[in-house]
Amino acid sequence: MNNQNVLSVRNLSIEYKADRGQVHAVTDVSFNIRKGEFFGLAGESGCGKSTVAFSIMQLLKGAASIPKGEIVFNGKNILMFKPEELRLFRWEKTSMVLQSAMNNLNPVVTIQSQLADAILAHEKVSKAELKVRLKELVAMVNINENRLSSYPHELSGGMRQRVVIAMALALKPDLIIFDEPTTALDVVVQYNIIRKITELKVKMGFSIMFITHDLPLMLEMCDRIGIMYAGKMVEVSPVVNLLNRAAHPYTRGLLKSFPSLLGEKVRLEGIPGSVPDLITPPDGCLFYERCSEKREECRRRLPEFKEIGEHWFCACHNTKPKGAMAHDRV
Amino acid sequence: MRNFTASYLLKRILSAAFTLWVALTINFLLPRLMGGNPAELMASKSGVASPEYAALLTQQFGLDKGIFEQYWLYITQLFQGNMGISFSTFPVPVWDIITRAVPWTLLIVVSSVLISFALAWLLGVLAALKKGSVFDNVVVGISFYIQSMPYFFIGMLILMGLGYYLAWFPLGHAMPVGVAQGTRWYQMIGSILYHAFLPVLSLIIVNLAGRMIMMRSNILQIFSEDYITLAQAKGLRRRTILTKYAFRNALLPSFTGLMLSLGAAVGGAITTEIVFSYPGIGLTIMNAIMSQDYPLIQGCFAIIAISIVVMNLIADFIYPFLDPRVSLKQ
Amino acid sequence: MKKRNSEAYAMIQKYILRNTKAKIGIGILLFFTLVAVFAPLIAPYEPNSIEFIPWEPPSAKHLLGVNSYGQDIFSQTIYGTRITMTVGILAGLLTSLVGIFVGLLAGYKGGIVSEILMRFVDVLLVIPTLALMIVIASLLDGMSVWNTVVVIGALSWLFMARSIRSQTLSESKRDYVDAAKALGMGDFEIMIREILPNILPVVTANMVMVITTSMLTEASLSFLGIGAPDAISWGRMLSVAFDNAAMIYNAWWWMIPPGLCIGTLGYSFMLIGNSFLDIYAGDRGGSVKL
Repeated sequence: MNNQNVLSVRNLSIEYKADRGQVHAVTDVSFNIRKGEFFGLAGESGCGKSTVAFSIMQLLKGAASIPKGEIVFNGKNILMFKPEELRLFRWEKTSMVLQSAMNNLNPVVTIQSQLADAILAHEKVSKAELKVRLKELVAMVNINENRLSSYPHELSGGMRQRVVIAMALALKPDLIIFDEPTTALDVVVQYNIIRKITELKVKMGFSIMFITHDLPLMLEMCDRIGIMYAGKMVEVSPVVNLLNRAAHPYTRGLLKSFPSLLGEKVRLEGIPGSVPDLITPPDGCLFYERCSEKREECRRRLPEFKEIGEHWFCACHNTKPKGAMAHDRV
Repeated sequence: MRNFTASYLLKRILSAAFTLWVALTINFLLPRLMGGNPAELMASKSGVASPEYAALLTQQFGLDKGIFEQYWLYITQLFQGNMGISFSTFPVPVWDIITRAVPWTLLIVVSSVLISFALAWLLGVLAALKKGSVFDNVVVGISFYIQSMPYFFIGMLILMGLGYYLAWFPLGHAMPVGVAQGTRWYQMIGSILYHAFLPVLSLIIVNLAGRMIMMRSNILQIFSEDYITLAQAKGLRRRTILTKYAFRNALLPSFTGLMLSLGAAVGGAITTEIVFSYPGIGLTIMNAIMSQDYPLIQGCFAIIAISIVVMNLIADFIYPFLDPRVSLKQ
Repeated sequence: MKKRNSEAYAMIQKYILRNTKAKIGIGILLFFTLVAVFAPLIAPYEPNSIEFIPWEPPSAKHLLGVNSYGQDIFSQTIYGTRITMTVGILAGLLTSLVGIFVGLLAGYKGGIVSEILMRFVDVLLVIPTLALMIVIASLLDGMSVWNTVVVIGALSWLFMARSIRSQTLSESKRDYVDAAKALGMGDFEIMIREILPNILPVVTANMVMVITTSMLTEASLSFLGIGAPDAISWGRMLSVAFDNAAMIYNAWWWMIPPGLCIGTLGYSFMLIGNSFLDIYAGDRGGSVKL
């Protein structure tokens, strides 16, 4: 892994229009994904992690707007793209695998034709060459090539999701976004798919942005993890740091609410309280109500999202810089 | 033919046969529940109001036999194309009256359904694409308003405006009253189309309203599916997304809707035919019921039930070619 | 109890107070209700009085002219509101009662019960309902307003039953139904006390929209000459106008007012019902299949 950023999200805010007013779904979020990095994005449902993912592909639905921020991909701000630039950016540079294996594929078109669509939208390929590439693609995800002429309903849930992964690899993108790719699948299939993803990443060298609320799974696979809470990034940290000395109280709470795979048995703890209203967010730290380490300052002033170590960031008034400083390497 | 299994075919045929049987049995029973002795009524109408004449008629139509015997006669004769002899237009066989009326109804119902289907498709797509625009609101608003008006009122407005006031079209009937000797076939067709124009136009308007609203909501539903999001993420061209991914899927439910609506369309044609004194099955039913003409009522119902069941069966056969999932689901 | 009230208020706020479409619909409805209630005060003449000059076009004396019998059309239209609204609403309620019951039963019980009920519905859908109504109408000894209500109600519930069934079907897969079963609630109790309140917006929308359908059916029956003969409904006005060759005399003032009244009142119910469905569908993250 080198230190060149593939994706750099800077001060991104996203708002939705609702009946009662603007919902601040994502506020002032910043993070980088380096070349070849396996980056995880975690948080409770509704914390804005999928919204961030969809904004990278510019797939936010009508009522959403981006009042502030930049999404820089290989040096270019994709928010400034013209429609045709955007169309070519999609899938060629960044592809994605969506939640729920069920409806990712068009039910009335063969998978071969859907795979071909992705290639033909971006490249001029002869028929013969296309055929070879399609076979290669499905072979990569261990699907027999005679399945190419099947319809989605003729495949199992796991197979369908592998087809989508093959599709995501079709143009050899720099970044693949996985938005809870295994939620609808059973555990064994889930394990196989995750292993396949890791294997392909090593072979092809793309970066991954992986979204899930399955934190233990993430700790096992990711290089770095970003934790979001109520539309804000509270901590971005290399996995090693998280395991022993997570900086943000919310991260620690989140880690405690999952059983450890190897460690001793401990009582699981949830985090009491609920997420603040995102239409009229409070002035201070959004986690204030639920935080066990709150101080008077936390209620009045929003903590700054600052670097506290190598590739390590946190937004908490209580956190002091840890370890060696490495400003120059971000 | 890969999706066309024998068991699918058999199931569809059996289900159609069952529906038809129940419908025909209801047809048989209902007129007999109507009360009043039709033979006496017929006798009184014919001017020879004698009990002897009534008895003769009763015997002639088997009304003195047991209900099961009547039922057996009804079913066996129906399959021989024998629907008895009409009371009101004695001694013309019901079969003759119906075969004279059916083509006219088919002409205006089928042509109006097909044309309104195509127009609804176009308007529905445009409205869905421009959801929330002035165009969308106007089209949807007008459609709802038309849906809230009686079929025959629309017919009356059209007849009043284009028939009586502007005198552009004939005021009724399917053909000129006396066809002159030496009329060429193309002149006949021209005249038939000319006469059918107003009834068809009014049926198109009423059918269009409901169907367009349905089409619009189908498409909006499809737009929210995951595979459309993924198609966008793939960087497909807008045209491909719309045709290959959205429209094909939106077409399926409306195709079944098309077939189901034929029954409703025939019902709606009853009052429309009366407004335009168009000599179809609607006008025939009306006259039959007004004169309590048992065999004719049965014949009209039977012919409507049979034609609708057959059309639905045809739709069931076409459906697997449009939707690869169908034969497995059933 | 207090919590219940605030919940009901939140519901009303969401479905009515913040809902422009529903407000317009309710506005129109209120207008016609007032017209129906105060008909004797608004109508300038007796609706059946035949004292005027036939075929007189609209004037200051007769706002909507006079028909071929010498009756004031404006007065008839005002009184027609009463009959049309009564028949529409009563038949709509009857339809809803049957439709909701069959829909809930078929959707919740599933299996053989659902199969039999839905097969029955499918078969009935094949036969044009209007024709069937004509047969049944002639079965009854003379049509009264009540007979009309019963005939319409008895045959219009088919589509409604389908719609309620498909909603019930998807609701009965939700967790709260399992919870209710675990608590030992009976099928009937679950249907009425658990599922019904959850699909209330769909049920209400259907009930409201079925009133429009009933009004239209009443108009068609009247047009075919089998409505209640002594009651002046808008449909009957249209029918009488058609039978008396109003078109030949170009007496548009006899046909347009009752026709537009049916359309406008029907439109108000459609607006209310549809806006409810939209909001409900938005809550469930997709459109509601009807």
